[in-house]
Amino acid sequence: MTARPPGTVAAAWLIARKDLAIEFRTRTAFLSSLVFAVLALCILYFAWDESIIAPADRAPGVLWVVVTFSGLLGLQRSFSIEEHDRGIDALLVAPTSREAIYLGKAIGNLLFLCAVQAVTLPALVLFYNLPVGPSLLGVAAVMLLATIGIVAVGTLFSAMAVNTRMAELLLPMLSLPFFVPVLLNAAQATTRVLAGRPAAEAWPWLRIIIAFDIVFVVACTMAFPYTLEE
Amino acid sequence: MIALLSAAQTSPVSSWGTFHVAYALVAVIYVGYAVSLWTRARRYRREIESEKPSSTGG
Amino acid sequence: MTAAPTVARSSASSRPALQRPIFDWLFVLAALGVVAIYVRAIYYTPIEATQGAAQKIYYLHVPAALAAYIAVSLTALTSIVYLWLHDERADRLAEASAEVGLVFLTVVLTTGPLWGHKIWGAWWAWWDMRLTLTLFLWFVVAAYLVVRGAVEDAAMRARFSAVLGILGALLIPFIHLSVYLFQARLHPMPIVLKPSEPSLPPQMLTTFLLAFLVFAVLCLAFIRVRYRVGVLRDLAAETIT
Repeated sequence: MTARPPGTVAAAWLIARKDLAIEFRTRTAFLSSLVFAVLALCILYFAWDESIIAPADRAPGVLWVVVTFSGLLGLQRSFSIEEHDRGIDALLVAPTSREAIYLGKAIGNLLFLCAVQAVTLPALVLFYNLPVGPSLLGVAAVMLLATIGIVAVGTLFSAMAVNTRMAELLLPMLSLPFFVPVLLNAAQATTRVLAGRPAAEAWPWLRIIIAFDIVFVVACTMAFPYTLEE
Repeated sequence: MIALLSAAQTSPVSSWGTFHVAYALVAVIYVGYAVSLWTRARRYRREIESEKPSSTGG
Repeated sequence: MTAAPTVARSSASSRPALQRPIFDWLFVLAALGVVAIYVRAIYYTPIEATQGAAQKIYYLHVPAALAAYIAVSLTALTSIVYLWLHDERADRLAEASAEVGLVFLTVVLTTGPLWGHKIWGAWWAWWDMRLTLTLFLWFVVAAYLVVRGAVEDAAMRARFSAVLGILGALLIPFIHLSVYLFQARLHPMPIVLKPSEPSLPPQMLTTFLLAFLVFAVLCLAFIRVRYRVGVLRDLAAETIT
């Protein structure tokens, strides 16, 4: 009896688990991203005079700059791990759709970035003296929504960049213009959430992030097969 | 700033300097681009010309 | 010695391509048009009452933006065509339009601050939607051209570029929405007087419209020239391998 090949969602989940298992074994990429994020929070603290702008006012902007750049670091690894031993060929030969490969990589990246952010946000609260309360849940929600967009675009571009000679330079250059709508709206929404404003004030910004997520998850899933060798 | 644009002002702000810089800069950009296109075309033509005799020879 | 079949297939078209100069009648016409516009803008258009001569920069700034949008739209369209038909001519046209578009975008981004600094006292106006969109468009087109330079395999390069072209086109409305929301909520700006409003005296309006036409033609002419350079480059690459 032959087993049926897994459907798209199941295949995606398998690929995500594989990536995370590889990651968990060595943990170097995770720890590097983590240390980078927390270090960046600290360094950015000193970029402003605390008597002129209160740290709590700077916190949303700093958070999103750090999330964006530590996200880029995390994204770099998702396809570069396949380069070693040409692991990507095994994926392509397996009876999974191309879209499942993309979704699996993207989910893996999403979980990776969320894990880094789960430490970054408490670190932000610690270093920038933010009040602990329900508003932090709102910030976490904004972070999740924004990270979906970052991961959707970043996974696709990292698949493209890995085929070139200058992957580390190309990925930020390709991705950052696409991160701008996410970054801008997320920072604005976070500012309002942290200031304790009613949710309705943050909604116009969140709405754009959600639309971005939907459009780009679909578009990047459809575009992914074109980034693979034919 | 907005006061600059109010209708009350009748004598124009003297801005010939900026004007000259802008028009000259734009001309430089377009001419420079045209020159780069011409240079590139010349280089490719030379490469094609120099390869042609050997392509039939093998 | 070299791939004889491919040389033979293209040799029918390669001979005229080699002989023909890349600058054609359309380009000469467009170039003359630009000279004419310069003359008209400088000598035959009145000086604006409050801004002085610097207002004339607008005759270059806005038409260049329009031309740039034409070029970049062409890149997005030919990207779709390429993914659909896999015709290398569509890819070549996408590349040519992108490069020409970058040149025109650069014109917009250099004339904008020059004019803005004189008139508003600020080098960059983040609330000027056109300027800000142009800036991000510049980054996306620059990324497109860098990707083209970074991928060696021709088919992969064409596919990657096409994907980037389409995604870039999808991005622009989001940038527009985000920046609009940003400036509307945070900087409720007073009404900014832009000299391109319809209530222009007829001479200025005519100069504007003529400038639009001239720059659009110049853009298309440049694209044609750049396309031919692309043909030559591909021929040169063929003969070398």
